[in-house]
Amino acid sequence: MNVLGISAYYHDSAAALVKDGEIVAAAQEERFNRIKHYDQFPSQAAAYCLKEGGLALDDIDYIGFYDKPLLTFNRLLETYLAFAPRGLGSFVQAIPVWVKEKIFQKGLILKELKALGLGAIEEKQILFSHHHHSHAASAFYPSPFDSAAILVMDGVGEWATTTLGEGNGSEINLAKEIRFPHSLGMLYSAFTYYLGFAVNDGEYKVMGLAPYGEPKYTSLIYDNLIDVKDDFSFRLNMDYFNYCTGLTMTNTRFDALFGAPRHAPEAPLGQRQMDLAASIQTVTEEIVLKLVAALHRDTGQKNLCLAGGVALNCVANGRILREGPFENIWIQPAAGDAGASVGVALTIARTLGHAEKNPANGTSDAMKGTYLGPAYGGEEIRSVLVDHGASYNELNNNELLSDIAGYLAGGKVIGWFQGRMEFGPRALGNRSILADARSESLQRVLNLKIKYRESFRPFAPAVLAGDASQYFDLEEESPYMLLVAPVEKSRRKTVSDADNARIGLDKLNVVRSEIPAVTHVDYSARVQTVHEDTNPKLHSLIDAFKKLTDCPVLVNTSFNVRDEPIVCSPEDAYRCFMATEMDVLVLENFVLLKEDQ
Amino acid sequence: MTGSPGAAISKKILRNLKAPSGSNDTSLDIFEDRFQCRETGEDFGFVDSVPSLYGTLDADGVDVTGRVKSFYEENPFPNYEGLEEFGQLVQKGSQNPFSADLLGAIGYNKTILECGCGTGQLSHFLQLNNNYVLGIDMSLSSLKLAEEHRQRNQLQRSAFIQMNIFDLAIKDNSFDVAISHGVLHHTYDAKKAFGHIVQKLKPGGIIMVGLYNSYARIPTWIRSKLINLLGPKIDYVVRNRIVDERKAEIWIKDQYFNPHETWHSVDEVLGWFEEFGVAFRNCSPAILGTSGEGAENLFAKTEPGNSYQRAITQMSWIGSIAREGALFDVIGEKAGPA
Repeated sequence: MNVLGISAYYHDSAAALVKDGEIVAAAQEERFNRIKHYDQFPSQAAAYCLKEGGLALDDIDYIGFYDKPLLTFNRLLETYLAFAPRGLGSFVQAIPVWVKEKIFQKGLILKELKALGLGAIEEKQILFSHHHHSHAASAFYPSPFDSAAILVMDGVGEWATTTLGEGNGSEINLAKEIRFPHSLGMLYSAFTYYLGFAVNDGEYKVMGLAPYGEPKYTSLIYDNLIDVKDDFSFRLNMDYFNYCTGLTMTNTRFDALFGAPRHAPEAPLGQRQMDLAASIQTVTEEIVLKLVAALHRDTGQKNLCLAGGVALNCVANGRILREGPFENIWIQPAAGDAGASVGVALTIARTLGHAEKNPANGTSDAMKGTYLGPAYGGEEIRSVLVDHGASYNELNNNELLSDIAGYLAGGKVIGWFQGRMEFGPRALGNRSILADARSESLQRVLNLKIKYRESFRPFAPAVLAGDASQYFDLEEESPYMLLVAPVEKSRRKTVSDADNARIGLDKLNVVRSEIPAVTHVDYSARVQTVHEDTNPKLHSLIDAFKKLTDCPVLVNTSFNVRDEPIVCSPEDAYRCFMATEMDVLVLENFVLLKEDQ
Repeated sequence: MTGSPGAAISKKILRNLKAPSGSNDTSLDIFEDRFQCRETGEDFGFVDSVPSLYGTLDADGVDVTGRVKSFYEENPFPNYEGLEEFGQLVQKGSQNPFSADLLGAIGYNKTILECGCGTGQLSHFLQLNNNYVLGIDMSLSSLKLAEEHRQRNQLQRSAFIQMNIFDLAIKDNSFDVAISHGVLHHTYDAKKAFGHIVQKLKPGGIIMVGLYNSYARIPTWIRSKLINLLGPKIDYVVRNRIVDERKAEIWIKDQYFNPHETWHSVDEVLGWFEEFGVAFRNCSPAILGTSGEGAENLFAKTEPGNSYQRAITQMSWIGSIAREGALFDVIGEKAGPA
């Protein structure tokens, strides 16, 4: 049975293809059309999935849509009625769009599919799943577990903001939920907004900023904004928020509570912003840990699966792993709405197609390293390079690995483009920028001259899986860069009292470990363990680098500049390479040096 | 190293330089604090640690040039907003349709000459895409800020030298692209300056010249009569674009208290093109009713339209570009093989 999963019309639209229970392809539309967080129908992603699977629409048994539009409309309507007449403005503004797009969504999806020109499909083949069920399925079905507890947390699904349940074999049972407007994701986004960042995009910045601050405002948050009950549930005090009735996240009472209006976007960040970020991060972690404890108590499972946007909070994930009661955790790498396309497709394959659960062997999952996007052949790459008049060399594998390892050790920054594109928000070594983690100056250079983003933002390490525990306090695998772990004590450097006394962004200038480029100011690192079976080429490259330098760690950051989607094609990669101060571009086995261009 | 301005001028720029008033066969070497002519041994010392090849002033232009120079020495333009990082500059440049389109049209691996670069933001931005940019200006205080930004961010492909547009220390036929955006109308003879710049362009190279428009500048002229009475808030850019106070002050001075400015029309520039062997490519904003309106990019080949279309277009600018300095740009290609 062939199922095409679709996620669209909210944010981050995506498509995924499941053939007889196997995830064959998945990709986000933004990578193709280059519009970040694109939320309309994922035409190019869907066409790509069909092509990758060698299928036409006629070969597809079902189209799965990740959300039930009528339920979502219901939420809007009821939210309005509950708060009427306060939200008339935003409600009136939302209605025409919802009526047009959401209520008639089945027709709309059908129309878009037909417009692909890739064969015929009928309306009855389109099925809808609950939003949080799609997330839960994306977390449990591809996981390495036969049974597990499931926790889904995001801004809001149709109604649910937090869902708890468990999976056994092909069955998923979602027992409890917390409903809109009480949402941990919305609370985090409210602070993201208040700190001057963009909602649904700036959450990473809040998480990155948090270690610079002190959690001074946690009691203010607990006393006024959120009420956490013993039974795991929580309620937000809606007097302080505006997202039910308005078009902003927070209101003037919120401003009064924290003593100032919203921080202006792009304005310099001070200690106050860092303290606010630290406070909301701490509260989020504490609540997530409570939820996880309750879930463990209720289900008695030893494994935990996570999905939903909040599951991208890798600092909280690290704490669940270290402090929580579960033995194993697995997080869907495309934890946001894009990944729900995989969830709905797998749900249909399991329930209607009777597909077996993936080969659950307790160690490897069914996401194939999340390398589920398009790959490009040598001739395609060559023609892009020739069109641009680029100067390049084509090397064999051995030459490539030793040359690039040498460049890395010499402090050069490499654009690394290999094989199939990653699905989900992280670049995991196929569309990555790589550099030497031992460098003291690279964090600044990478942020300011390559990514063009704020200097405080940390970079993540890619480490050989076999060496991970020698550099980080981490025994488990973290192939998807979703766990934050402390840098191993023996790798840390003594920091002088004067350096310890530094505050705010000045903390950046202190060298804290042998791998300073990936050590955050609180000694944490968002680790990617690199495995030979899922990414042999990157594994060999780091191995070659280790032979030269005795260090099995590289900086791995996504191949893009700020506010642009990660690159997809060789053309995108060439443009990004040329527009930044990257030194070397590697497209499969083609190597370009900036100085030769 | 990158810390000293001397060594910072890359070979791709250095080989296009010559001694001021020297012949095209002269070439320069660069040292910590000076240029030296390889053929004559003559030294050209840096001034205030800014590389300088200023040359001699034209007798006709001494008065205007002197007044404009001291104006910009006092008011480095456009100036930076606080301690701007290169990353922020790139962000702003990519969000600004003018600079983003310009970079896209220029493409990759080009040599670019910016005449009248001021404090150098555009030069810094255009050195993306592996382009090499030489920014020249006569204001040392502006170039100092440009150079400071370059050194702080260790930029390798932008370079700044004090020069005089009427005596460019640059070899003929040497640059791929030449830009002079909002500068020539402050010189004593804009057409003559244009001719000098065209000379430095390779055959087939692209020139873009941005000037005050004779129609669209009228509202600014009216505001200049009122601004002492009503204050700087009558200016749209101060109200909507600028955060930094010093930067706002400099904008007001540049727009309303400039010691010398001339106004120009599209037709006049087309006349210059004709005279100096430049073929029309495009105009920004586009000339109404021509293929320029749907142009693929800033350097695309389009038609200049007829004089009626151009007159209507320029009248419409009174309602559009007039509020932001009334600059229009005309783009052309120097005759000869590309």
